[in-house]
Amino acid sequence: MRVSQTIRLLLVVAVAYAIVELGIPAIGALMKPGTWPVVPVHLVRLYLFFIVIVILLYAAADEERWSRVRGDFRFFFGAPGARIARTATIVAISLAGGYGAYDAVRPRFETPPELRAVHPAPPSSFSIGGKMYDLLTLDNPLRADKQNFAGDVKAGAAIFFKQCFFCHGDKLDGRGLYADAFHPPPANFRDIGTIAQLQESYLFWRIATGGPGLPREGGPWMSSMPVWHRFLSETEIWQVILFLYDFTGHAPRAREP
Amino acid sequence: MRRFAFPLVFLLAHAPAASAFADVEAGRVVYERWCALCHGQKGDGNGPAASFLMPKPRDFTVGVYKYKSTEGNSLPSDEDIARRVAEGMLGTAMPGWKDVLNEADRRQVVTFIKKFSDIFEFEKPGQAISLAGQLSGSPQAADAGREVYRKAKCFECHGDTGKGNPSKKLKDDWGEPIWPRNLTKPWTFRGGSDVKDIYTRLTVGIPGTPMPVFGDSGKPDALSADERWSVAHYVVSLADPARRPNPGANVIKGVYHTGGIAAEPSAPVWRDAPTVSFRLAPQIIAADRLFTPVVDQITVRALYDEKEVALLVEWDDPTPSRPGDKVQKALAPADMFEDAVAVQFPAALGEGLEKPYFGHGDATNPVNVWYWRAGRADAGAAYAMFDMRGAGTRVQRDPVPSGFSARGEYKDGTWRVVFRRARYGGDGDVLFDSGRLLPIAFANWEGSNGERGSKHTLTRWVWLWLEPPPSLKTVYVPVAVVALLAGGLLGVSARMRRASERPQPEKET
Repeated sequence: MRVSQTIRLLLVVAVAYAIVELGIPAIGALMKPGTWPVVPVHLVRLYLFFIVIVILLYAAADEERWSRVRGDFRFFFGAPGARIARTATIVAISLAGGYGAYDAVRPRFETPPELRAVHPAPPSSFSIGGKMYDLLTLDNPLRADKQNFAGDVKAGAAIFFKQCFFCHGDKLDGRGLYADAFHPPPANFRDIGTIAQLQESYLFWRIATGGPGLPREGGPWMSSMPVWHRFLSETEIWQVILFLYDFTGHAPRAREP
Repeated sequence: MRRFAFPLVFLLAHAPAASAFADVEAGRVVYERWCALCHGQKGDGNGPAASFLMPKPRDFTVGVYKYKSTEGNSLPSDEDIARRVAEGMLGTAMPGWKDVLNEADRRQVVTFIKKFSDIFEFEKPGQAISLAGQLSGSPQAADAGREVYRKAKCFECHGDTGKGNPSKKLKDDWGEPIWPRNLTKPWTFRGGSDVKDIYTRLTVGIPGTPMPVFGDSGKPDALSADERWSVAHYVVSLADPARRPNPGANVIKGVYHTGGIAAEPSAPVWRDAPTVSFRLAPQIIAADRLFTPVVDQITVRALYDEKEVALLVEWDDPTPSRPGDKVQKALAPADMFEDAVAVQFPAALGEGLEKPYFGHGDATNPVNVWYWRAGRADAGAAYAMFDMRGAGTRVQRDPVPSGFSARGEYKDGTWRVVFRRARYGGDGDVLFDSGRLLPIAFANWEGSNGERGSKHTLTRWVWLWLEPPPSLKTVYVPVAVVALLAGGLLGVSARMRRASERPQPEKET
């Protein structure tokens, strides 16, 4: 059976659309099972726009092809025999357009994306209770003390399990008992994207000054991280930092030369 | 060669013992890394974290395990303990460990923790109870279960509607206060919420707690297997999954309502507003902190009309705490304060995404707080409105210009509090425009849990969105589009039909 030129072109558009809508997520699902990474709606629209343009260009590029397409249209819209199909198509297109219009004007909300820098640039120095800390030169004073290392890690563990594990979790995976009550979610220390990429001085600053100590781009108004210098001594904070690295097996990021 | 024969034979003869010993040692390594910080080096449940947790970490030295599947008072099987290690206990600080401990690790750590109590040397685990003869779930089974629930006096602890509001004070075998499970929230069932899990709890009880054994046919208050299955189905039917907090749902959708906004928390009009529930976390951020909360979630609805906006805030609370109420005082584990709830808004909306600090704002970004408290038993409830610029800075605001009021009622284990106010009040007041996302946060005080002042539970910032009232635009725009499309297409079609009926002109050459 010979399929008409127009239907073939419409099929090409449909197949291209299916590739964007289903094929791309399927590739993602193959690469990472259990996921289904959809293409954003505005991108789908953009692709579809270009696909239709290309198909139109292709159809119009050849005089004979173009006249066949026009003939198909003339037949579909004009032939008395195609009345039922014609009426059904017109009703379907009109209703789809009406629904699209309703969807566009109905009241809806889109929660603003709460963009924030997860590890914002730290200040070069900060002070607590009159004591100045220069982050460019600050080092964990306990790391060099090999003799008391095990004891410091143990002390850090005890502090973690009295203060931090409620949110950062028993496994240090950021999934503690109250983690899902807060936003942004508590940091997962086992992930290579957190403490493994940060210097110890950065951790000291984040722990000591907490959520309210974040710069504006870090969203200080929503972080539930306490201002730990109000609860912990300087030594205790360094002990916790030792514990975080020791337990996860990560090494702190080295200082840039 | 001969010299090595004896030790070799010796080793072979003792191989099983040696492997058990290796299991214990391997289990010790797992335990010390992952378990000891809560359960303690000595297995006595006294690790560093213990005093900040309720329920407390299990004390392994007494050999009592709450969630088991073996008959009566017998010891749990290794599988029972391993299952809790693998899956954790929902609603407690005990996570499931199967993501970091493989099956061998879990088996070894079970072998090790059993060594903390010598009871495992003298007694063998009991036989697992039979789950054969399970009744299939049906409304009839649940109805029969409701009768058994009444007959077996389950309501004395779990409440008439299963909300976990007791009529007597409860303690566990370690002398710690304990609240009965809220049966409408299966996502907090420690030992699993499948009907088989519930049947198991009913049959062998929860050792160490006041939850009795109903499967011991020798006892006068025992229930038959069919009765236990039907109660289990009744408990399953009590679940209210719509109220399970979803961390992704962070918008309260307020519905436009004509005909006046009801101040009564039980008014039927509230059913028109969709609910959304949020997790409550204890205030562990600033001094003085709360570590062991009882109330763990809050459910909110919103209604509004031309003039007013109202919120219905609900939470399950085992006790309506009002100082001076002797009945409730008898249930409270410690000093009893007033139950209370608060709603917080930014006093002014900041630039872009910026909001006031969620802990009561700061000097430059104040918040406005609606507050309701249950009051003393002899005085009754009260409400107030505050402006705050950081914790501990509250300044009372006259509620009259904004027409602010609040009313609460306690029924069957649930507090319901309605807050209402004018959408547009006095100068410098929060504006309740429709169609705009307004940051909102909640705090709650469970007075019987000693919560007062900064010791309370709280939510993060979420959003209140007053859905714009239905407008004609949503009717005429789609109708116009349909008319345009249909008209245009029919016009084209008519023209082409006319063209096709006309004789085709000769093609020019």
